[in-house]
Amino acid sequence: MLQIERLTKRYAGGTVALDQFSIELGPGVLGLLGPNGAGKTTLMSILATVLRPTSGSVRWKGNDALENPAEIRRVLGYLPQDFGVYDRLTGVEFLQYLGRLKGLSGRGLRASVDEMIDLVNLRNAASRPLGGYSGGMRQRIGIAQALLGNPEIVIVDEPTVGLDPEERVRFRNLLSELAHGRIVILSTHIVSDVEAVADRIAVIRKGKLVRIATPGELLAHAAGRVFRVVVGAEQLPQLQQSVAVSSISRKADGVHVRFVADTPRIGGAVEAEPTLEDAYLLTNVEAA
Amino acid sequence: MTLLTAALAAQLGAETRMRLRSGATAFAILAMFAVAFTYIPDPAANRVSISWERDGLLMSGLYSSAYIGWVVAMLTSMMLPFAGFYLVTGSVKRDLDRHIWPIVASTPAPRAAYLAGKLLASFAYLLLLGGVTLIPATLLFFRYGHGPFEPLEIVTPWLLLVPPALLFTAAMALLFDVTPGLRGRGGFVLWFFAWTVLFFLIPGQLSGVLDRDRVQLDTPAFDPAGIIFVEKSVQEAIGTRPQSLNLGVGIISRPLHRVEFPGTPVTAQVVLTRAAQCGWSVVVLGLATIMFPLGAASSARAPRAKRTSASPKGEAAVETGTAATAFKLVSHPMRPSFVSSVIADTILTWKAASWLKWPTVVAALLAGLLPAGPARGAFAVTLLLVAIMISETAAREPIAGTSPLVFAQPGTPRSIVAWKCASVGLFVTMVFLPSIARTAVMNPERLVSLLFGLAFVVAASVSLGLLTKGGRFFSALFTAAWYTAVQGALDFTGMFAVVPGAATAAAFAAAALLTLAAAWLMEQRTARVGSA
Repeated sequence: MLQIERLTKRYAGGTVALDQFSIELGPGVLGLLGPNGAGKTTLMSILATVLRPTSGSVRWKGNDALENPAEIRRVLGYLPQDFGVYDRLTGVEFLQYLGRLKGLSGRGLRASVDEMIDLVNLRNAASRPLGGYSGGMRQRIGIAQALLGNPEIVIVDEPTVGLDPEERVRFRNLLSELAHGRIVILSTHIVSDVEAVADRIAVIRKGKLVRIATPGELLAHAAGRVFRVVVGAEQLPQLQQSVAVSSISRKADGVHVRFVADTPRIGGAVEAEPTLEDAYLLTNVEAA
Repeated sequence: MTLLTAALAAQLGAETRMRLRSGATAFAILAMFAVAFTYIPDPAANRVSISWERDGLLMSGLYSSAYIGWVVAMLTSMMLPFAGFYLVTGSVKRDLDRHIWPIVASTPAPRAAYLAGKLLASFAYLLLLGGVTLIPATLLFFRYGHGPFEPLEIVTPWLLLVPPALLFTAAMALLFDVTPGLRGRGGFVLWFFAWTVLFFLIPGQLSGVLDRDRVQLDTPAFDPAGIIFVEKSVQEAIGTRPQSLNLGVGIISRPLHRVEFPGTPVTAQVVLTRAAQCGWSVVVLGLATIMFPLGAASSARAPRAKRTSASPKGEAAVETGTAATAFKLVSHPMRPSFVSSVIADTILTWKAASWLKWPTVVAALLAGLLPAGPARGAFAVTLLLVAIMISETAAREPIAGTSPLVFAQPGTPRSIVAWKCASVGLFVTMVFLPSIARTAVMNPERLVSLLFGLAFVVAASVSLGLLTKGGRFFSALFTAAWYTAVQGALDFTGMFAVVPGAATAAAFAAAALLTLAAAWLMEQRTARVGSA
């Protein structure tokens, strides 16, 4: 069990990136949703022990992870949002280097690296310098290094950025498989990523935990509060000022608008089946 | 304002801001300030900056404003290009590596403005560093000076000698930066030879200075640092061509006669001659503009893939992204430790090194096997190459952007200072094992100095790398120290001086350890969770 209690991070200059954030995590996938600047990456960095919080605690199986980070690092796999590689090293050499830092050696290191290379399907590129890898290939190397050592906790921060749609689907499948018996924290601002894999979704906004619920609970909360309407182009600006619009599409018969609100607000608006994006938008509106 | 000038001003402004906001700038200014104090030795000491021989007598100038001005200008125009190159090269490479160039390239800004902006920013930066030397010059005049204080006499030689030298250095740094094969650490080594040829050999050849029978020297068309200009000025000051002229701080063992040194009258022709040297920088800028598209293209191109064996099915396998089938991860024993992380980092230093590692290995072996004189040469080469190889080790993670990956690992030590010192120390020890063994057997009186010297190299590279978050400041400082050491003066290794002594080496090592202590204090101040 991973227990995060009243975690706060205040940067020099006064910015409060995390504000009394608390959550308890067990095996399964937690989707961390929030807009840019919400505090997701700060939270991920603290959990990965590369950043120190201003206050609060992180406990792993009852032990204080902040006081003794080496213990949690042994069971942690971390894929950061932005990461570099050593261009001159091959994929295998890079994984071997990080594997050594994890404490793998000898036959175990070689076997572990081989497994990861096959898992992320980079066998043909493994002996090539990383400088020649595409963005998607680098991301796969990042995934591979995060899974070295069979971690119990996997933290992935915006992992599908830069992946093509096919790779994105495969990555989601991988996360789903990983979640058996592991804690997986997936931080993203792409709703479709969490929709596919998350057991629970935590919505974070301005450093605070706004809501934590299953996808079903979020959708149920949004039921009856999602509407769709077709308006003329000249009505759109006024509509956008009065309601939270979740999608706009321009068609031959007008502008099709989907929005969230407590009531229809405009003539001709009909109730729509909520999607997770609508539910997320509604949560943000209620939290604002 | 035209697009060209606006783009030029924008590039110049951005580069200047980035340089001034870098911690390395403060270090560089302090270093120049300290080094400039050595330009004007105590007249009672056995060291001299400019000396010449005439009629069998060793001579130098009385410490007038003019003499001090010439000494400071001469040493700045000679030495700052050597070290300053390392501080200003690499900004184009940075833009290419960090994918800033595609954004710049998509704007209407002309390429020439981009490169000229880089050049001018480098020039301005070097001028700032060179200008710092005037402060110690003034202070030392008040300490040791002879005659009235004439500020114009101190500044004028600087204005004649320094700007053309630094402009040319900035242009060469840009040319190296845009040329495939010259950018990066290979170019760092090649610069030493380029500096020797461009600043000394070619002007010397053109002027006939090597012909001791020549009464009058020709004014060379190419003399960016003004070396021949200085020789001709000394000749004019003393009335005849000296039998020998020594430029640079040296130790003397003979009586020294000090005479009035009024310097060269500044005429329009003198000013035009020196100003004309700036034209060479324009030529180099032109070359860089021609080379730049090649450099940008080679940076964008992926390296040629190594041949891989065919798949068992006899056809190339298609990379289809992450595997879609179910899997089970296997646990393997993990024993993270300080030792394993040190070994990992040392291996990485070797693997991340470019083609430099092979001549380094050869030179290191030769330094242990050859007879004394050639062994010393091989040792000098090894020292320079190793310093360049390790220059970025301490700052490897922030440079490459791998900090989040590396510092989240269980084996990464709590103290990055300790980790990097241990890994760099291991690397240096392994490379210099032949030299250490040879010295222990053949010259045991030099062993302590050698070990102090290697400790200096390790401590300086780690501390300066961590404090400046890069390797260029250490590269600049080290190459200047290396050049001085191989001349026999300020030998921090004890391998080059005629009389071995541990005091100099110990002083260097102590200074580096102090810097290391500063790095450690900074580490404590910005401690991450439970680690450095």
